[in-house]
This record gives sequence, structure tokens and C-alpha cells, in this order.
Amino acid sequence: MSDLERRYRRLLLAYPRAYRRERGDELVTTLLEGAPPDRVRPAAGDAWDLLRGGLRLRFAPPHGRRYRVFALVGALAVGYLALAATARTTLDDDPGDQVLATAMALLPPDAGSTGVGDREWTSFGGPTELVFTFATEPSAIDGLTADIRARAVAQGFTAGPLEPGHRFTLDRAGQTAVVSVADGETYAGTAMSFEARFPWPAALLPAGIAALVLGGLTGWLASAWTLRRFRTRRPAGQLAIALVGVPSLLFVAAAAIGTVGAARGDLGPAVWAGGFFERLGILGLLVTLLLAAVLPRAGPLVAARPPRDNLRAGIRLVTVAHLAFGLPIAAVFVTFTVRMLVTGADRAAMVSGAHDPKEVLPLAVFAPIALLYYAGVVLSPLLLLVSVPLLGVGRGRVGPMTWRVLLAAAISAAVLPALLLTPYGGDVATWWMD
Amino acid sequence: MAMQEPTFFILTALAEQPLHGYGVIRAVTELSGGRITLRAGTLYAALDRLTEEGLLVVDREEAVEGRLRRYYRLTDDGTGALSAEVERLRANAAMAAARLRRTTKLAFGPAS
Repeated sequence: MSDLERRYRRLLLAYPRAYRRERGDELVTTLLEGAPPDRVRPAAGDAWDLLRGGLRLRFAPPHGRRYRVFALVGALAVGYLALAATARTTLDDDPGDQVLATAMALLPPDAGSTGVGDREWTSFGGPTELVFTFATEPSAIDGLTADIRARAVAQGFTAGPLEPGHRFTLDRAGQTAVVSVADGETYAGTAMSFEARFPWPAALLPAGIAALVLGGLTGWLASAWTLRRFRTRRPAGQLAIALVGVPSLLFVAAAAIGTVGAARGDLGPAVWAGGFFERLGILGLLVTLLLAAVLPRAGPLVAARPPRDNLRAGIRLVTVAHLAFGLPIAAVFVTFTVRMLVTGADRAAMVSGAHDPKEVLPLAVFAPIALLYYAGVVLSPLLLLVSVPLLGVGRGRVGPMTWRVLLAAAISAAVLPALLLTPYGGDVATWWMD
Repeated sequence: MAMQEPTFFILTALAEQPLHGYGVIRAVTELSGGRITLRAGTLYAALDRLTEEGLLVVDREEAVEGRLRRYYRLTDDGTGALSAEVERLRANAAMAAARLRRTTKLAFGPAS
């Protein structure tokens, strides 16, 4: 082996081992044939090209816009999960919500009052703001401010000097609040109302950004790996990965949207609590990785592909997707009915919480059914947009049995979610959602 | 969607006869008048993609002086994709030429 070949082979280490095994010798042949006779070191351009090609195969999603979009969604999903976990951990130790108790202690004892407490999205660290608004004459505000300040001092606070705008700071055991008192419109017509605006913990900003970046990067790499594996699996394996992976991403997206929606005006840790959909999404994403790791690959990369009948493949794919979404919905109906018959409970008793489906079914059965049930309720009717045209196009062009199975699958996709809208189905859905 | 130029030249290089990796690189350089010089890493990324899309297939393998050479050829889909691209380029060129002719006539004014 010449020095040049040895150096080329060293550069090829950038490529994954499986790729080197399949393509390594061929690549080296091409490189050596293209090299001038006096060359002893790889040209810088060739070296960079090989490094870039190898790293792309190791870390980038497969070629194509679809794959890049999925990798991006995966990156966002894992970035969100990392951010949520960081927010939960940080907020669990945060005394922010104790400030409401502080505010309550400062209220005039005889005043009818209402109040709210929330976090500012944009505020990290810094003091809590306590705003007291009285429905009274402006001239009374001086006295009311002095009362509140005196009450705070009696509670052990160190009060700062009175500042313009009836503001003063309070400090106790490292907890700082800025109080401002004003006259104006109160909530619900009470004599006074107060608002507590407390910040997110200062540590959450750097920790959150780091979690988002590292989580996003991890998500990108994991998605790219999964998609590269997906591309080389057999069609049945690809379907299994897609059926678990796509709903899982949707569940995480639903949890993320829910968090953003609920965070405004909420006290914090509860918003990031994760919830059922997030846990289901995480479980599904882990199962997707597992499937990508264990399912066998379709064949060698450079082998010729047999000619493909796209119509038949499309019909099979849609049929299996319909059935994969329909069967869990049917399973939920059957489980509900069987449970009712076996225990003698009526429908009201079933939805009372005494027959929790998570206790009726083992987790290993419950989790996949739940994943496909929720995805199926949404996606299965949408799939009809594909399966109905396929029924029209495929009639006479595919075997009668294949066509009939698709017809049955399409009918089930319309009927099963519709059954959930009946009174009985409504009870089934309520019971399943616990 | 328009085909990228290196892809177009790789398919064109293989339209006449099966070629091995270095043969493709040489043919692409020649066909493009020296404008496009493929490097091995880039070439094999393209060959992988085109094989996966069913446009190319391995024709045969040879051992020359103990080295592995793999020859690639166009599939029917590959020939179809190249023909479609040729048609697209031809239509674009014809449209541009027609516009240029009109512009030239306008510049000189209508013949009287």
C-alpha cells in the first residue's frame, strides 16, 4: 500500500464503518486513478471533500427537503423537552410563588380585595413587583401607603425610603419586593386590588438557552440518525417507524403549544409539568429510536432496486396506516365494553374514575394503544383525503382483495372516529382520557 | 424541479455507456468544457443519491490491478429523467430565443 493510499484511507475514516465496508475500496480506486503520478499527499480540496462527505453521512439527515424538515421538527421537539425539563427543575426551587402570601399579609385587614399573581415572560431575576390599587380619592393614597409600609415593617421586612409614585422596596431574608400604591380602577369593583408580578429565576435564562441549544442539537443528530436508518429499512419497517415517530412528534408539539398557551398568567411550575401528552410523546420518540436501531435494513446500498408499482405500494401503505389507527380506537371500545360487562358497572360508574384505563391495561399495552388512538382520531379521517382518490384510481388496477381491504380500512377511518361522537362513544372517550 | 448541473452532467456522462467512478469524473469535466470538476467525495454522494432514487444502477464490478472498479449505468427511470431535463432546457432555450428575436425586430422597427 502506497503512502498516498494510506493517507486516503485515513481520510476515509470520516465515513461510517458500514459505508467504508461497502464503498471504501471503490472510492480509493477512484481517488488513486485521479491522482497525478507524483502525488504523495492528498490534495487539500480532496481531503476537505472527503471529510465533508463523511461527516455528512454521519451527522446530516438524508438528501431531500422532507428529511430536513423532519430533522428540524425533531430538533425543535427535543429542544423544547430539554427547556421544559430545565424550567421544571429551576422553578421547583424558586420561591417566586411565595410572594403571593407576602402580598396577602400586607393587605389592609378590612378592605374587600381581589388579586392576581403572574410571571413576566421577559423578566429574569430582579425584584418582585407588588402593585396595590385602591378605589379611593388620590388624597388618601399617602395614608394607605404609610399603612402598608408600617404593616410590612411589623412583619419583619426592612422597608426602604418612600420614593416618588408611592413606591418603596421591601427586603426580608433575601427576598426583595418593590411595592407601589396607586388609586384607580380595581378588579370586579372591590375596594382594592393587588397584582404581584414576579420574575422568572435569573438562572433560567442561561440554563434555558443552553438547554434549548444542546437539546436542539441532540434532537437534530438523533433525528438525522433515525432518518438515515429509516431510509434504508424495508417498507414495513419504514411504516412502523413513521407510525410511531410522527404521532410522537405531534404529541410533543401539542404539549409545547399547550405550554405556551397556558404560561401567560400562570404561576409557573404547573405550566411545565409535562402532562400526559408530553410523556406519551417522549415514550414514542424513544420507541422510534429503538425501532430504527433494531429493524433490519432493506439490502446493500448499491444494489439495483426492483421496479416498483407505486400505486400498489401507496394503497398498501394507506391501508396499513388506516388499520394501525383504527384498531386502537376499536380496542378502546372493546376494552370499555368488556370491562363494563365483567364488572357489572354502568356507563356513569365507568367514567367516574373508578375504572382507570391505565390500571385496567398494563402500561406496555396502554402506551402504544394510547399513542395510536390519539393520533388516529386526528390523522385517520385526514388520511381519507388520500385513500378515497386511491380507491377511485386503484379500482381494476390492483387485485380485488387489495381494493376491498382498502375500502374496509377507509370506512373504518370514517366510522370509528364518528362513533366517538355518539353518547356511548362519548363515554368511551371520556373514560379513556381519564 | 430543475436538475442541478452536476447531476445533469453525471446522467449525461452515463447516457452513452456504463462508466466507473473516475470515468464519470473525466467525462463530466470533458462534457462541461472543464467548468465542473467533481471530487470523489462529491461524486459518490451524488451516485448514492441517484442510485437510491432509482436513476442509476451498478452495471458490473471489475478488479483492475487488484483494485475494485464499479461501473454504473442509467436505468429506464434515469433515461426518462435526463430526457425530461433535456426537454425542459430545450423549451427554456426556445422561449428565450423567441423573445430575443422579437426584441431584435422591435429594435430595428417593423419592416415596411
